[in-house]
Amino acid sequence: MNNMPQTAFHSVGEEWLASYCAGGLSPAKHLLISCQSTMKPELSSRLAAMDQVGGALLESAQGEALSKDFFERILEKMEAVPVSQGLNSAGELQPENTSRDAWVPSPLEDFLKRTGQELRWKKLGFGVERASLSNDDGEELYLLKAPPGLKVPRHTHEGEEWALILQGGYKVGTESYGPGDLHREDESCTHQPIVDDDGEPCITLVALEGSLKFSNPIMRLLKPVIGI
Amino acid sequence: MRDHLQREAATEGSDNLSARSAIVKALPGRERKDSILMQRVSGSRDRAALGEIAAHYAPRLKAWLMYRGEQSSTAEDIVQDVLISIWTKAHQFNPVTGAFSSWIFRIVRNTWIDHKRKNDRMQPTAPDIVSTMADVPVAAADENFDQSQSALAVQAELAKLPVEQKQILHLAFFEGLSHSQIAERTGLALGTVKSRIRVPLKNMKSKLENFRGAIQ
Repeated sequence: MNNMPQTAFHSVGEEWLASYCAGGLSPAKHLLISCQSTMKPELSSRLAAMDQVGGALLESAQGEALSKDFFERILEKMEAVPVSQGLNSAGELQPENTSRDAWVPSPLEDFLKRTGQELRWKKLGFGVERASLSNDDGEELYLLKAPPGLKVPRHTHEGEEWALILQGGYKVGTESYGPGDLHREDESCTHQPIVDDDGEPCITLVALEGSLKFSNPIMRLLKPVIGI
Repeated sequence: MRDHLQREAATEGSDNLSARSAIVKALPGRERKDSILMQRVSGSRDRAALGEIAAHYAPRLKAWLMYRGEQSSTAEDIVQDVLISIWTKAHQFNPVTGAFSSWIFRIVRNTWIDHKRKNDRMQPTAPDIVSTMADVPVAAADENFDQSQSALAVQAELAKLPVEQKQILHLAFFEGLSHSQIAERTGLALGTVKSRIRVPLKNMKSKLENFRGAIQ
């Protein structure tokens, strides 16, 4: 499912990055890409190149007629708006320095601040913990913490799952995923991730449409109990 | 500034967005013109220069927003916020880090996303979802990589594309259609749409990596 580009990390394909730049991804997926680009400077460069494409298409596109008082209203606003503080060159709030865990990328930190959330880890089965962040239009955003060496039961998905690894790693078959890798799966993929057994839990930021479908009938029975 | 806007408004017309075909053509010299205008804005707080920028970009930004479902008046409010951001942060624009059009493209995206985030907060049906919209500043990009080279490479590659392929990129980047919406609009298979977005962008990426190799 994942494109393994020339630069050696897992991400989604260019067509999804284009959707990100066009503002067309869901809020949860948008956050994952924002987080990944802070972890992988190469991705940030690719997104900047896509903004060049977006800008070139914008400058040559056909426009929409403006109201007659458009300019007057700009002048009124210009008089009223103070010089902004704490904004960077693209109009985003600059995250403040905090003492949050090192594995939390700045866009996630910004998200937590804006939503006024503290992480509330809930224990699931098999030593797995989960912290819910949002649920928007059928897409859940959450953090998942899995203990080293865990074999996640074989499963597939009802919709797409995007998982960004923030700490630790896991393997799926012969593919290894580590910090900054984004792993995309959909209903066509059945997989059984095995968390790296190196003493450190694996923490992933997950955007999930629908829910997981386990291959094992016992897991299917346990699913409502363990809450995945 | 008002004159520029009114001239532009008169030439753009006001026909229905959905009835339009994508117009994708190179604008030679636009990047240089924008850089000079931005020097005037940041150097001498020249409102006429901002007016020239607004005359060119405001109708296009408004269209970009209306394609995303914003009403005309809301779209204009957001465009005004974008232009005010350009005015107040003009000193932060650096033509070496990329074309002005890519800067304003990022600003309109972020301003629109911020607008949606604030509105979502007021929706009683979606009480939990607030901003996941934090975006990443260009400055976070690979510092060893000269973005001005990338701007030239991207524009050269864009100019080489067949019109049909450019129109698909236009639908994705400008009209903001999803892959399946583009498939529906064009009659192409979903996989074909994805590859027609992916392939030219990957080619551009390869060119950029060649530049990176030459620089390092």
